[in-house]
Amino acid sequence: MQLIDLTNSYKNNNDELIAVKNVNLDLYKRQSISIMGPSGCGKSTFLNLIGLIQKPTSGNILINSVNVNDYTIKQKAYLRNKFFGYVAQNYLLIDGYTAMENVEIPLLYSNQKICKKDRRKKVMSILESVEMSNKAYDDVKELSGGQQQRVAIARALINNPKILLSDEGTSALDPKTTKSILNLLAKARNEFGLTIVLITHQMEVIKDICDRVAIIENGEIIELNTVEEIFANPQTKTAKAFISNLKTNSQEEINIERKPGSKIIRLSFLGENAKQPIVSKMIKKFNVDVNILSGNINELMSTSIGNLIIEISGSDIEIEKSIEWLKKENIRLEVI
Amino acid sequence: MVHQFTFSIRDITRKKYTIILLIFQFIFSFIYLSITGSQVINSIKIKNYFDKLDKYNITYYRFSSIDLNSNEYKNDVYSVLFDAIEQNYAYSAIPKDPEINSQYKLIVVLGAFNEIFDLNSLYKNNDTETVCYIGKNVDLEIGDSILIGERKKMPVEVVAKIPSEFKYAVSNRMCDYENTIVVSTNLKTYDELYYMILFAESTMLVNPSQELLTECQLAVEKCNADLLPVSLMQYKNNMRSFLFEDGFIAAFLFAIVVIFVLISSLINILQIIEINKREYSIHILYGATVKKIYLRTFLFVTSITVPIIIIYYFILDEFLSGVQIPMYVMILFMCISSVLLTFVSLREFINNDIYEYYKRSE
Repeated sequence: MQLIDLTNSYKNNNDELIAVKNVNLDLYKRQSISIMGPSGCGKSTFLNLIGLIQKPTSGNILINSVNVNDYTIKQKAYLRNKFFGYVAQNYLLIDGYTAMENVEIPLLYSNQKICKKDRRKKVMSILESVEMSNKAYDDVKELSGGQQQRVAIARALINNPKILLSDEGTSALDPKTTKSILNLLAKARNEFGLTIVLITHQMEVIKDICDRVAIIENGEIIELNTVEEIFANPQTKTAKAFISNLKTNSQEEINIERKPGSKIIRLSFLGENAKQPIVSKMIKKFNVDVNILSGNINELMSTSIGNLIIEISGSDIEIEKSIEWLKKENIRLEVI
Repeated sequence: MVHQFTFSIRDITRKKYTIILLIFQFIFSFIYLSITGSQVINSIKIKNYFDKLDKYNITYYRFSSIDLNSNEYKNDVYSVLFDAIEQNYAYSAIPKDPEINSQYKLIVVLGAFNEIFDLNSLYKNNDTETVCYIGKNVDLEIGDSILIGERKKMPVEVVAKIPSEFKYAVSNRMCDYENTIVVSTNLKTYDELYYMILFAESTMLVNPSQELLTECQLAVEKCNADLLPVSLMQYKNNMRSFLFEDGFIAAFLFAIVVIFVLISSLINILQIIEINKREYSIHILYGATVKKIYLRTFLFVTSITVPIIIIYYFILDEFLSGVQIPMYVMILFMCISSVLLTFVSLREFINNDIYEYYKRSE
C-alpha cells in the first residue's frame, strides 16, 4: 500500500485546519509500523485515511498499485470489510450484543454468503485464538476491558485482513494481556502476512512487534526509520523526546549534575555492541575516569539496544580522545 | 435485507418501552388531530353554509293571541301564506310525528326551503315531487321508503343524506338535521296528507316585500291578533360566531398543541436514531454500505409507524367512527414520513466522516 502526498484538512469557523499534510508512506506485507507523535498531531486522522474511513482532501492511496481514492462507496466498503481490520482504544463494541454477535459483524457484510452455522463456527474459532470462546455468548458490556479488547481484535481479524489498523488498541490492557495480544498479532503477521499499522506509546508494543516507527508532528511525518535507528539515533527533537519518554517508562531518570572538568555523555549501543565491554576498554585505553549514571538494554524484535549515561572525568584532551575512539567503535553518542 | 431487518428489530427491542410510549403518543395525537381536524373542517363548512344564507332576510312572523284552528278568518291567513310559499317568498318547516321511530324528528318542508337551505344541491327536486332527506344519525339508506301522512298514508323515498354542516332555521333558532327526517313536498300534497296544525306558526317569510307584509298584516288583523316580526339574522350571526369563530379557534389552537406533540414525538425518533448512529458507524467501519444503513433505519422507522396505523384503524375503530383520517392518507403519510425521517436523520451522518460518530464514548 502506498500513500502519496496525502493531505486532510477541515474547516473550523472558516479557518482551514490541516490534520495530515503531504504524507508519503509505503506499507509492506508482514511489516509493522508504529505511528508516534504528540496528542492532536493527526495520528488518528492518518490511520483513518489509511483505512478509508476518512476521505483525503488531496493525494492518492494505492493498493497493489491501484488508486483507491476514486473507488465508489460500495468498493470502499468492500475494502474496509476484506482488506482492513480496525481496533480502537475504546473497543467499538456494540453493547447489548454478545461477543459472538460483535465478532460476526464483518462476516455479515462479506461478499461470500456464509450460512449462520458456518459463521458461528468461524467466530468461535477466532474467539478461541484470543482465549474468549468461553465468553462467546456473554453480553460484551459484562466483559472486562481486556476481554472486550480481545473481542475487538477477534472482530478485526475475522475476515483475515491484509492490514490491521490499531489506534492505541492495547493501551487499556494490563501487561500480561498486552503480551498475549501482541503474540496473537505477531502470529497473524507471520502466518497470514498481515501488515500492522498501530498508534501506540507503549514501549513493549514497539519493541515486540514493530519494524518501523513514523514520528508525526503537525500532521507531517518528520521522521521515519527502523525501530533500531529511531531508538539508537533519533534525529528530530520530537523523536528524541519520545524515545526518552519511552526509556524512562522502564527506569528512573537520574538527576544529572555537571561537575567541572567532566562531560556527561549518552551512549547508544546497537546489536552486538550492546553486549561488548566498551566502557572498561575505554578506561584502560585512556586516562579517564568513568562514572555510570544510568543504563539499560532494550530487547527489540530483531536486535538489542543498550543505553548508557556516563560521566567522563579527566583532561580535556583525554576526554576528546575517548569520544573520538567511541565514535570509531560505532557507538552512537550524544554529549549532554 | 434479512440482516438489516433483524438489526432494526433489535434497535426496537433495545428501546422497547420508549418506542411503545412513542407509538401511543402518536396514536393519541392522531386521534386528537382527527377530532379537532374534523371540527375545524366542520366549522369552515358551517361558516361557508351560513355565508350562503346571508343573501336571505329570513323573517319569522310570530302570531300572537291567535288560534287559527278555531278562527273563521284562518283561510285568509292561509291564503296569504300559500301565495307566498308558491311564489317562493316563504317556506315552511312543519314538525310532524315520525311514526317509524320516536327518537327521530320529522319535518315537512314547503316552498323556498330546499333552495335556501341548499337541499337542492343534494338532490335536484322538482316542485311537485315528494321526497325524503335524512340526517346523518337516521338509520335509513338512500333508496329506502317510509310511510308518511296523517290523513292518508303515502310512501316516500329517501333521496339523500344531509351533511352535518347543513342547518335550517325554524321559528327563532337554527336547527341541525342529525336525527331529522325531512319530507320535501308541495302544498297540494301536503294538504292531502296532513292537517294544517302548526302550519302558519312554522312558516317563515323570506325577503318579504312591503306589499306581502301589508297583506299578511291585514289578514292577521282580521283574526284580532298581531304579527310580530322576528328576524333570524342576528341569531344566525350569533350562531355563526359561536360555531365558527369560537369553535374554529379552539379547535385550531388544540390542533397546534397536538401538532407540537407530534413534532416532539418525531424528534424523539430522531434522537433514538442519533444514539444508534454510533452502532451504524461501527457497521460501516466493518463493511456495511450506506445503502444498508438507510435500509435498516427505514425498517426501524417503519416498524414504529406500521403499528400506529394498525392500532389506529383496527383497535380504536369503534371509538372513532366518522372522524378517522382515511386509510390511504395515513399509509401515504406514514410512507412519506418514514422516508423523510430516514433521510433527515442520516443526512449529516452520511456527509460527515463516520469517525465523528464511532469515536463517541458510550
